[in-house]
Formats: sequence, structure tokens, C-alpha cells
Amino acid sequence: MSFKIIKKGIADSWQDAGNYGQQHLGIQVGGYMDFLSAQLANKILGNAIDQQVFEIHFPASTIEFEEAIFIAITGANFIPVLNEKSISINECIKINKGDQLQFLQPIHGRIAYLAISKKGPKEQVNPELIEHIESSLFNTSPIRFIPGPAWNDLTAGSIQHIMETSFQTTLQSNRMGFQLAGPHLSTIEPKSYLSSGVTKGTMQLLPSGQIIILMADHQTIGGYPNLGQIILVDLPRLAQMAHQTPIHFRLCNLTTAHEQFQFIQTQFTN
Amino acid sequence: MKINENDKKSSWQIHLLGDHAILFSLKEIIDTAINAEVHAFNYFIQSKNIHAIKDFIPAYHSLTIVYDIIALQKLLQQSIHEFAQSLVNEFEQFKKENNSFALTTNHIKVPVCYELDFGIDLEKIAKEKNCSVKEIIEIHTSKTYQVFCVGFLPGFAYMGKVDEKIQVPRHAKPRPLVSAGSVGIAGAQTGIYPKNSPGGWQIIGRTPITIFDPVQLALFAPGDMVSFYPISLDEFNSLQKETNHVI
Repeated sequence: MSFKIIKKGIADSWQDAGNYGQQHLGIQVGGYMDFLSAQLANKILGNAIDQQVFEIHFPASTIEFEEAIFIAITGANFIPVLNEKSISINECIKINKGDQLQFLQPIHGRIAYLAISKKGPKEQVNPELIEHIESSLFNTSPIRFIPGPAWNDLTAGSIQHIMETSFQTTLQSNRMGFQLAGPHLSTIEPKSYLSSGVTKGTMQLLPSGQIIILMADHQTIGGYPNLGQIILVDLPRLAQMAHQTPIHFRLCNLTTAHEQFQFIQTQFTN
Repeated sequence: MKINENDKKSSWQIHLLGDHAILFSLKEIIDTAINAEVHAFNYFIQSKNIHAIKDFIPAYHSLTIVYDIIALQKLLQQSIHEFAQSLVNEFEQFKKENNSFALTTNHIKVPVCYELDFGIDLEKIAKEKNCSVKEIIEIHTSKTYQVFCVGFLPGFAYMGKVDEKIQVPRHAKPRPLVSAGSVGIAGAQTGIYPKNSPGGWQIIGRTPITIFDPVQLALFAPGDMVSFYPISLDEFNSLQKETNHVI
């Protein structure tokens, strides 16, 4: 790679769009947690949008570049500094050999992305796209989901809690899943479920009565009640929520979910 | 594996799993015939080569397919639900026309050393079941098991069904470390830990062969048939030398 890590961050890794086609062997898909920021970083540099990017959690790695390249940093703002001078996020930045990149402190968001390119962009990315991504990542509107197979097994009270109460992200949140804190939820009857396939964004009801939302490194099958799945376009917003961020949920239908996904992907491919 | 129209136990239910997956499910029980139907359906859909489908996840009574939203939308004239229903209808039609079709599956024979140093729960199970350790080994090795699904860890195959005479529940408190290659039983199921990991299954032996490695991937695929045969400690050691066991 074109940089070396001088000081290792807690959970930084190279990620791409994920490795599909092997879930039947129990092999996780993985891939970036926030596809919007990852794609944006590539788009700013004129890369293919699904190119590998460096996913950065805080405390972040300190990086020294080994050649002259171009970079773009997107997603969370951890105050990136290049040779101790502050640099912008969501912009193409020219790098010289030996430059050092550090991240000082988390201002907002949970995950930053670093894309690299040897050639640099031919044209500037539409500022409206950057604005659109920023506003869809960092806002307080409800997280939308489509009810899952165990939704109707919930008590009326539990359904009401999900629709009306505020939940919170907790410290039990990582690339596998985000465990939430909220009112205690339960199914009408104590029922055991046979494991079946789960996806990114699946909301499972844990035996503790709390919700866990499966993220990029989730297991392929799961046996907890499947309450629903977060729609793909809202997952990056969830992925960017720092510890103890309040979350509200809202029902969504398939048509809306697909339209929104298509709309955003069209912006990236134009 | 043979699938007969007459064996039909229940009909397919369709559930759209969020905006990028579809869950097809049958009656929710651990049953070899129902699971065989899942593998047949999986095989049928895969043979259609629909590139918009990115993943197929068969499990006990269900098949989940993961799709690329944009690629599938381009392909379809109908709704996702209608598409899912048409897959079920085509499969039912296919079965009618091919009254009994055989699904080619691998039969994998796994060497297991049932020495007490490896089979750390054998004596306890023998006591609970009022039988000898030798009988447990005979019963475990006398059957051919079906791989219901693979999950929990990469390459971990859930197989069944274990003879009722030796069925035991999983440990109430999982062990923090179960060694790679450990062969366990839990309820009607048996399985092998592909690598060192925490685990709650009751351990009856250990295999020296590699269950999963990142290059050759998994030894077992859903729908495979598996049987176990006993080996001595000496055979275990020499087989292990030949294998690059992934820990």
C-alpha cells in the first residue's frame, strides 16, 4: 500500500463492498459499515465507487505516506491533521512522500473513511452530492425499517414501544452489531425460533429484551426473533451514531426503500 | 438425496426480509425431509443463474436469498413478491414434472478419535444415558448425517439427526475454549468446531482433519451427507501431521 501505519488505531481495516457468495458456508460478507461515506471518498478521487477504502474508528491510526498520492477523507470528523496542519474532509487532498496523517479527536460520527488514488480526479464532485450525503448521515430523523417474520409475535406493548419510544446506542456496538438500550420488549409467547438467514440491518430481539441490529460483520444465520430490517439507505446513519445517541424507529415500505436506494446510487454513478 | 413430491410436508411461505433479501420457509422443525426440500429449492434457484442474486443461505427449514436491488429491479417486470412467488411456483411445477429427482450431494467420511482426552464429555454422557462410552461411539458412528446448514463460525456444519439414545442438551454454561476439530453433540445435532472457539456443545471426540481454511474454504456444504469413523490416537497423530490444521 502507499502508506504505512506508525501508530495502530483500535479497529482500523481495509474494506470494500463486501464478499458475497459464500454465506452458505458461514462466511460473513463484511465490507464497509457506511457505504455512503466510503463511496463518496472514492467518488471525490474519481475512483470506481466500490474500490477498497481504509475504515477508521477512533482512536485512529497515525499514517505516514510512502509516495505522492491523492487522498479523500469522508464520514466521521475526527479532526484530521496532515503534518500537524488541519485538513478538510470531503475534499481531494494532495499528499507528498513522507507526509503524516493523524486524527485528533472525534467531533461527530463514529467511522471515517480514507480513499487513495495515484492519479487524482479529472473533475470536481458535485457539491450537492456531498451536501446530500452529509445531511443524510448526520440528522435526527427516525431510522426506517421493514417488519420481519417475528414482528407479529411481539406483544402490542412492545410494538408500541418500538414505534413511540426512544432507544439508545450502547458500548456494545462494533462491526458485528449494535446493541441498543431501551424499554424491555417481549414476544406474546415464549417461543424458540429455528436459525435462518439474516442480513445487514436485521433487528434481533435478544433474550434480555433488548434489540441488536446486525452490521457488516454479522453471522450468516441467527436464531433470535427477527423483528425487522433497517433499510439499506438508513444503515450508514446508524453506523455513524456515537455512543448514547437517541434513536427513533419508523415503519417503511419496500417501494420507498428501493426508490431511495436507487436515487442515491444514481447520484453516485452520474 | 431423493426428493419426492409425496414427501411434501408443508408449503413455502414467503417473507420479504427488508429491502435486499427474501426468506422462503417451510414448517419450523428440524427434520431431514424438510431440510432436503430446502436444499432442492436452493439447487433449483441456483440453476437459473439469476445474477442479481448475490447469496443463497439455506438453513433448517428456510432459504434466504440476498439480492442486488438495482440489478433485480432492472430484470423484473413484476414486484419482488410476485418474483418470489413465481420461483416457488416454478419449483413446484418442476417437481411435478420430475416426480423423483436425485440431488447430487457429497458423502464425506470423517475420522474421529474418541479417546477420553478429546471426548471430554463422553463419561458424563455415558453416566446420564446409562450406557457405556463404547456404545455412544457405536451409535454416533452408525448413522449418516445430513448437513442442515453452515453457520455460527465459518465452516461450522449443523448436522443431524443424532440418535435419541445419545441426545443430550448443550451445556448450560458454554466453555470459554473448545479446541479446533472437537466433535460435539447438542440435542438432535452434531457438529465439528472448525477452530478454537467458545462453545456449549458436549464434546465426544476430535478429528485431525481441517474443517475450514481461508483458501480451500469449508469442508462441508449444506445438503452434504456426513459419517464418522473411529480412529486410534496413533492414527490421529499421523493424520494430523499430514494436515495443516488451522487453529
